[in-house]
Amino acid sequence: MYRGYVLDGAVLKSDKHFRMGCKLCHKGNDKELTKEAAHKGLVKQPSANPTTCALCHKAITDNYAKSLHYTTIGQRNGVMPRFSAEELKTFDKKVFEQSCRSCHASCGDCHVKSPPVSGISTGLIKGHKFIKKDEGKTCASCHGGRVYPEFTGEYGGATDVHYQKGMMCADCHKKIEMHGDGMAYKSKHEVKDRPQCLSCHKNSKDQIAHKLHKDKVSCQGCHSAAKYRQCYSCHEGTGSKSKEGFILGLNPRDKKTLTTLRLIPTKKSTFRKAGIKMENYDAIPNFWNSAVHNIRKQTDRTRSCDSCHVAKNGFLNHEMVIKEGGSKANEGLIYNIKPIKR
Amino acid sequence: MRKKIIVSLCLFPILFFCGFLAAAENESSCIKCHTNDVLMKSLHKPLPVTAEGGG
Repeated sequence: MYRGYVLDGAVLKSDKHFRMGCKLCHKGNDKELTKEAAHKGLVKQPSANPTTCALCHKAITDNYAKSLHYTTIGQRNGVMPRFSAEELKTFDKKVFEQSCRSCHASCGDCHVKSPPVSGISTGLIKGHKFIKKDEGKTCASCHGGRVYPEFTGEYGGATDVHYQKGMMCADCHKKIEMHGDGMAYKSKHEVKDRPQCLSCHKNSKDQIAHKLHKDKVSCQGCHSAAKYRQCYSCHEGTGSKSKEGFILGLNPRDKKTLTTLRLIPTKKSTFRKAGIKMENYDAIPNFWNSAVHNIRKQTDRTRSCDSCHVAKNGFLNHEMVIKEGGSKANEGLIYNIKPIKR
Repeated sequence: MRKKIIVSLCLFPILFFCGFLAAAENESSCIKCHTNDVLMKSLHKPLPVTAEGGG
């Protein structure tokens, strides 16, 4: 999109990043007057290599080079248990480095220009000004399939109460979570100090529902307001398809906490083109615990115990788990909720 | 000697600042095109949307 190339003259005068000229980051030849000659050796996305920003921001880029937004290693480690040792080697070579890694975020993706999704970018965030944050044009681009529209209610579901109150992504997901703390985590679940509801909501009131469900049900298990997005058929060549759904089941990471589950669209055929059959496909389920972003104080489950304990609304069941080549591990997430003894 | 030191101290920040100005001035060929909305629009056409975002 052309707006990705139009600079704001006023920004160039006011932002100190431009004092050293364009060439410091973008290379090319700034003395030439024709496009071809001026663009010879041009670096379109200088921050794709963090060493560019490291010239001035070394402490940040050193940490960032190990962060999950940069390494995207969480994607690899999430699917890894499905592969044999040989398949993992093939995956690393043919899929991860060629495809998944291309999704990493550079410094510029958050601070200068909206990241491209499927080749589409909304352009420079503010005429090439180096901004601190603008979640609607940055986070929303990469997380625009599920989490962001869930949060804002744009896909038609319930708007998250935090968004209604004026909060945005960076109000919970702090700078250190984005830039990294210098640790090379294997997945987001290992990250220290990642957002927790209890960080703000101290649970000081003696609410009986909180006492009864403590360590048994996640916060979002009750406070997710409505259906959220489930994705299907990703990596199948035509892009993913999504439809709404609300699913409660056991957290696959601890097998004891009831929580909101989201369908992860890995099918047996997902990596067939790369020659990977997924020999251990059934090692992990197709559903993962998800901190869905459509939180409300009052939901169907907070209003009535019967919503779960009698009607079993939204609970993962046998009909849902094996359909269309699902993993056998899905069965282990089914939770048989019992009626309340009155 | 004292005079020389004072002159040097005054000249250093001026020359330092001029260096930035000169660097900025040299970029005029980049800026000339990239602040031209009409030119950029004529050169960059939108691509078709092929898929939804992830996340």
